[in-house]
Amino acid sequence: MRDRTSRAPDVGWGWRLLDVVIAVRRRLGADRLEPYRPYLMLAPALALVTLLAGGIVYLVYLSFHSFDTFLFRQGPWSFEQYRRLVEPPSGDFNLQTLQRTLVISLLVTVGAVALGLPVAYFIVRTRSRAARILTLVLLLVPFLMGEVVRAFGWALVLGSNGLVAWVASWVGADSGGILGTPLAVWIGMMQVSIPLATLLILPALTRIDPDLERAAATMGAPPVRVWRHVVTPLARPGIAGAAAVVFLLSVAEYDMPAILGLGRLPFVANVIRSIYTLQNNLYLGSAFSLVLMAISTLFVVVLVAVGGIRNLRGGSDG
Amino acid sequence: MAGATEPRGDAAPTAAAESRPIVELVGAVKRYGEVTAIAGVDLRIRPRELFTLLGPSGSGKTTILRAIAGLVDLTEGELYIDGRNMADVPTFERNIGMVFQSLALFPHMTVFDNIAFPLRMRRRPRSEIARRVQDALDVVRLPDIGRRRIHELSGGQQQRVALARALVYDPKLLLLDEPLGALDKRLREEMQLELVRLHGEIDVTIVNVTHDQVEALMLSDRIGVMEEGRLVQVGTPEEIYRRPATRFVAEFVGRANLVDGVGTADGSLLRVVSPSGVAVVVSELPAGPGAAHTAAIRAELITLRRPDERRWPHGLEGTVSLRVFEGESVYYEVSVQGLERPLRVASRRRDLAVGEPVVVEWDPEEVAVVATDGR
Repeated sequence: MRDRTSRAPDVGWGWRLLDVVIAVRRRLGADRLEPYRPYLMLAPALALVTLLAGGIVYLVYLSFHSFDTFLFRQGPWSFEQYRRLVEPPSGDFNLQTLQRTLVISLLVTVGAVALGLPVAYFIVRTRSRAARILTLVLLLVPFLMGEVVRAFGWALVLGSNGLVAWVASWVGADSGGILGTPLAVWIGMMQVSIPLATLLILPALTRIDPDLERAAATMGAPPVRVWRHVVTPLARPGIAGAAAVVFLLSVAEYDMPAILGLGRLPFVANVIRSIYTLQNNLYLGSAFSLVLMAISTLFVVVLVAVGGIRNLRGGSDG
Repeated sequence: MAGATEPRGDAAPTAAAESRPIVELVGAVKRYGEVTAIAGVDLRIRPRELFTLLGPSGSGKTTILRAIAGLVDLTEGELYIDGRNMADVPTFERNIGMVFQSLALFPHMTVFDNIAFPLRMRRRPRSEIARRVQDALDVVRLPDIGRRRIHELSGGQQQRVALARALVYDPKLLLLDEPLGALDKRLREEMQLELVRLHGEIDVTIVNVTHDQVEALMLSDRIGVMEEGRLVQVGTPEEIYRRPATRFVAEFVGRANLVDGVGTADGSLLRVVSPSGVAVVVSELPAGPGAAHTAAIRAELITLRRPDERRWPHGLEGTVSLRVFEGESVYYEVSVQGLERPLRVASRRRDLAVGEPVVVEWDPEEVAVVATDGR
């Protein structure tokens, strides 16, 4: 009797509620599902992936069919779309576009990782909490606005009446701005890519014990060599991951080439769009998409193989 | 008044070092914002000695070690290594060997590459590297593990590899930042003996940091005891153990029973008398009769007797309140009227039971007495 009165009533209610929940679960036989719970929790993700895979299968299906653009009718199975991609009249243009997309994306990837790594290192190692938080917030700012807004912002800076042209005229070089050049596209893409790379490298650097760097210093390694022999190799999985993500996003870039490239420097995505909307040719567009996807996938596979797979496995190998 | 003011172990390091110190700290201060990690430390470490900085965690011992390595910049004061001011010498130019508490072995390298690292930083030729790494592995008695990766080694093997890596380039100075702390007791004792052996074989000065007073007493040529950023006593293990300079040292080193009170002299009979009237006979009163003192009676230097075996009129009477068998000795706690805490005794005697009345006796020469200015 005493026990009951000494227990706080609200605590008692909380426990009783739990009892009810457990009783209901028992009645419903929910416990039988217990072993499958991890799989059940995966279900939404699986559904999404299945949907995407379905879409890709459909693209493959389309790309391997011929298409009569005049009659607007699907023909039999064929490699026609892939042939048209590389053959005249537009073959050279397509290949040029593909090359441009890959080269600029690669340069963005290299630049973003090279500039993101020191920023991530600063965030991890700085003693000042305020500096760390400020840097993190600044990194997130570019993500707060839409890509089109950012692109037009850069257009103002890089355009003929913009900051760059103004500074150039001061130095004496009379340029009309750099809009429409690969450099402008690259700069526009770097703005999100650097913070992205930084945030992706961050966890890998956090895992590096600062004593390793101190130990390297006591053994006679100046800072540059500490970086080369200790920090970079240990951050390799993070670097590889960041490079893969930045590259994949860059390869699919649309707004920056359209706006900062003034349409003169289309990426694959821009060309696919015009194939889809201007030529109304889903079949050719599918083929181009798949070619780009295949190349990107290959790139990521190589990155993971060269970059991080041994470390990603947690060093369980000999 | 006999022997009332004999000087004690000095808080400042003895200036009479025969040779030039290999490490010298002068007025070293390190502050992190509001927090003072070391508050004015003067220290001279002699060539070839094994010097231990002993203190509880947060006492500043690791900060001193890191300052010597150049991993921490002093706020005030000077640091000399081999007579050279280190203010503008970065860590990687100091030619110091250091073993970290975390060992800091490179997980992405093999054992060989770990040990070869300092030699590669010095751009030694390949053949020399191979030879010296093998020598270093032989010295730590792990000749055949060069190809293995770090995570494949046991804790003790990792210790030895870390030691080999810190010694392979023959640094004059080896800094140990509590590397033995994480080991289990047996392995730790084995590594301690290993260190003593290495120290005998190699021409190196070792500065060791630990909070383990047993380790400090066992390994060291000299010990510096740290308390709240200050070096409170520097001396040989025996000096630290027998002649603690402060109450803190007496309490921290060894298992001692502290009795706070006032020194009284009755003819040649010197005593420290606690406020509750417990009188501890001692052999000296450094601050003189009438001043506040603390007497520290070591647990292992106390003799327990039954009341009928009593041999000395000044022993304290009490009752056994705890008996724990420890193997080599039996640990007793003896409650004494007037003392807050029971006396701790490590005795060879096994025949005393809890509740039995006993007399606690000691040799006054063995009791350390510290002037405590009223604390």
